[in-house]
Amino acid sequence: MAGTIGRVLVFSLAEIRFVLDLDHLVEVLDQLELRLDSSRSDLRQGIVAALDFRHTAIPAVDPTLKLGLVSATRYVDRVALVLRGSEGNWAVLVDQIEGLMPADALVRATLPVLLKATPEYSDAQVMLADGVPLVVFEPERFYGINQGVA
Amino acid sequence: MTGFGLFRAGDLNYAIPLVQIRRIVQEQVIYPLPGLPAGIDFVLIYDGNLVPVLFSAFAPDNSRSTDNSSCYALVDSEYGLLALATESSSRIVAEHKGELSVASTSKRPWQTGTFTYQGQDFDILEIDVLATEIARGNGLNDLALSGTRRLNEEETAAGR
Repeated sequence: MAGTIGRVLVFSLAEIRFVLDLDHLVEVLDQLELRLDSSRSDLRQGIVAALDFRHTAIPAVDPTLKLGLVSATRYVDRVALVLRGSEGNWAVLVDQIEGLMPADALVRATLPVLLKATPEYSDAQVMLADGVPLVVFEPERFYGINQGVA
Repeated sequence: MTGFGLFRAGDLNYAIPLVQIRRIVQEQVIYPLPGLPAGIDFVLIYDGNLVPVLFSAFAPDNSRSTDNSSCYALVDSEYGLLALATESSSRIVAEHKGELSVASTSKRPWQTGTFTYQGQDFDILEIDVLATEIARGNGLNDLALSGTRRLNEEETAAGR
């Protein structure tokens, strides 16, 4: 992935901004209406549909299920980020791509004690970019053999 | 001066001992984050740090997040700085200007008493107890501090 070193992708989901290391990213897909097959889901794993990617069905995961969030955007109107994983490619469905930014524009935020006391934030990272918080999206928490462990 | 900051968030009138109030800020943008403990729905950024926002469910116009500007009392606690949502009509009042009464059977563990000023009652908050209850996970059940945003989200989802 030449040209991506030191850059991150910013996306939004349920009004929250996340930042993703580009090393995880394979491709960004939109116009999902003909690509998603919601009859092939496994909600216990957060998989809400199968996504047709390069003539292969890959799991499409909705992170809001695990994060306890609610997005107003329908799955077919979302954007799929195809990620590489230990078990092959998979996709995460997000509301919107905000853009790319240099990684060195991010400053790690110190988490308040009240947040650090919760399991969700015991090892979570939040970055600040121009005073706006961005949650570091860790793919391994959402899909794969190690999901939920990280 | 010994006194209180008197604040209002929707139907909630509350008083904070002056010594614990670091600052009152306006025009602050608040941000939702995933997995916040019950009682906290948003954070704001102050001096480059994340600050948990309390009482946002009581404040007006809390249904929107990142475009919402309001007024917040920044209060020191054993758990660090907290931001309490308030209307802009807050005021600082010397203790002798009002009447203090101790809560006999407080329904809320974080309410130590009442400060009555010009005929209005303000719940005196024990901010460390309040923060402790949130840290223990009692922010929703015992405090009824939160839930409005979640309810809005559920309604949104139902109508989707």
